[in-house]
Amino acid sequence: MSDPPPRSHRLHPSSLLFQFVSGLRHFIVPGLLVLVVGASSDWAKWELYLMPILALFMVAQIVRYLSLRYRFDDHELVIRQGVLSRTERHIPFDRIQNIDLVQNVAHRALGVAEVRLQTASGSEPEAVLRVLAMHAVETMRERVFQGRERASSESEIGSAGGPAGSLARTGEPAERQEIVRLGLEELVRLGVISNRGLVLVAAAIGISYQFNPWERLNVSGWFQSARGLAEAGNLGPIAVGVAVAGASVLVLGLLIAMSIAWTVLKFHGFRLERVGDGFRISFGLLTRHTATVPARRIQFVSVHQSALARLMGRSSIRIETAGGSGDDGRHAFSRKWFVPILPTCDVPRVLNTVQPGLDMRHAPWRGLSAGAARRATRRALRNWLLPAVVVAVVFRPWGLAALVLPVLGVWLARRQCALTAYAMTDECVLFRSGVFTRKTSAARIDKIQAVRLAESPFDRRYRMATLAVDTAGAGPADHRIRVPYLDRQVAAQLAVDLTRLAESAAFRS
Amino acid sequence: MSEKNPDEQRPADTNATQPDRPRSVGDDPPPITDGPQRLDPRWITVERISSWIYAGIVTIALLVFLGLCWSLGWFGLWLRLGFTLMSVGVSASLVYRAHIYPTLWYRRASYVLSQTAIEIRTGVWWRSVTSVPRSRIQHTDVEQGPLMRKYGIAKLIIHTAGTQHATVELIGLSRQQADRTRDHLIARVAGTHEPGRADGV
Repeated sequence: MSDPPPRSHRLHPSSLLFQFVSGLRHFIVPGLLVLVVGASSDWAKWELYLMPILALFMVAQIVRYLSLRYRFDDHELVIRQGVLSRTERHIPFDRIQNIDLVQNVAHRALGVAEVRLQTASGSEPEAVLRVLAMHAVETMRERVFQGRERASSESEIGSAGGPAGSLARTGEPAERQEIVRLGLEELVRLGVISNRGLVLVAAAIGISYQFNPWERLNVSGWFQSARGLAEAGNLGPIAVGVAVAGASVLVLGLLIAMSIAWTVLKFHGFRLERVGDGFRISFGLLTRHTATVPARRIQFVSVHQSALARLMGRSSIRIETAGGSGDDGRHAFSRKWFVPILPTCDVPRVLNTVQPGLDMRHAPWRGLSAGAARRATRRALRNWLLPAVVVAVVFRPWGLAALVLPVLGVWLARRQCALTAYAMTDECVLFRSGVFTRKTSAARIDKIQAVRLAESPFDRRYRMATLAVDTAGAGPADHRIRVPYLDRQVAAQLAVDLTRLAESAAFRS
Repeated sequence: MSEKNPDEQRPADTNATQPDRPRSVGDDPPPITDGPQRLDPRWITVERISSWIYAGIVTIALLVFLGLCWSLGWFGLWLRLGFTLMSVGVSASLVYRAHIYPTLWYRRASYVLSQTAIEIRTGVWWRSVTSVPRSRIQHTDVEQGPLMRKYGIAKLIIHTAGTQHATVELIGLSRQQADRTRDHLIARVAGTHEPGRADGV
């Protein structure tokens, strides 16, 4: 496209439809609630109140659609909006952290997508364009990422560059290279591991509190009749036990099945690709998510292994970019689900594409202070022993079981100490922790924002300290670099070194 | 700590530099060097006043409550005794917080403005040393509350792109010290790097 100087674009016309529908939801949910929960006799009145609001809302949507325009300038994306109070938002290409796309079924049918542009600031996307045609999205990707390359090459050379519009496509159409593709088998595994069924149950419970169907379902009645059945059939306690166990297995199986179904639906066709200088993630059967993350925007890489995942030899990888960390569910999918599941033996290969030379397994790991295990043991005993003894004495015969707790507590504390470790390489700080869910993370030294050394009064008694390393974008990876129980001197030296390295690393590249 | 600040009537702008401001209060801020620097002792007064106000309000509320308890015979005797004891404890700790703690805090707090980073030491019981590499400073604020303004004290707030320590506060600087530190940090931030490259984002 050799467009004459900055031409402004509108959203796709179907935006109107989507905005209207999504806006309608605000009205429909309370409306339905009134219909379902309240007495439905007054419904007509509600309609009366809603109509003018709806009409006004519709007009507002149309005006909004007509007034929103965006254009690509030399180095920035400009979005203009508003009629009475006009806002013009300039987003420099090299400030855009990632471009996320969300396409639900209707979007896909119409060949459009919702576009979210993330910058480093704040927790919300910098701009949400709802919705753009796919070819417009492609253009935007090209302009943003090429514009950025151009901007950086220009600043290196120091030339002013050609006139606007004569965008010479020096770079070949960025080569794509597939890194990870998830088949059905892996997705089923992921379904088992992620245990989404519980989430669905929680949602169901939440809904049930709103509508209270228990009365109609008469659950206690079921119990009564089940009990009656047991008594009538003269079933012994063993039979009842078997029945209960069978029912729980059934429920568990159902939960796992639901989890698998949810996972397959959500992550169907998952692909992680290297596209030029960035990564592209795409997945979803009904609602299709696509995200593009420039490689050098990655702040933090984190490998997670839950207990179940370890059993199956699987890991997941999450990344963090600056900004957009507030809502880790909806807005941060590209980072939370960088690679949702992966054979553990395959992790080094993928990490290597993210951060060449990063080898988490063979990093120079260093453990906590030599006295850490003893301190943790004491702490666990202090916390658990007295309550456990009290419980054991008060509820004598059965309460004695409580004496297991201090033992467990001590085991857990010692395990924690043994498994927590940190490492420093030329380029990264690494940290790992966790007993059941193990997390190993790496932050590039040139991405370190601040270093804090903290000492509690207890730390001082043991001459220890905690070292915390802060990076931009904390949320989706759900892991912070915070190394407790370090020898004071070691920690202080580390803090000094890291700060110095962070400062000098910034100017090296 | 009873000297009056001559320019207490100054408008409440928090971010303007005032190079021609008369330096009549306290000492000149120490020059920016590599050594650890102390905060302004007037901070103790400010902190004491505000903490005493807080302690006073809480103590009066407690006294009123206890008075009602004892005069109207609310609750049982033991509960009343317990409340009284607790109130004494709370008041005592507030007095400690208002009168002794600021001195201890002041003695421990310091900061170092080196070539590579600004390093802030704070805390009496829970101590911490926070270092922010200079290139990571996104922007800074100088803030003054009304009481701080009266005593010529300011708070320097350093913003980074981080998350846990996205804002690092340096409290208890004199206004001049804060301005000079700010100018120094900003000059360095603006001068030496191309934005978007060195800030680690």
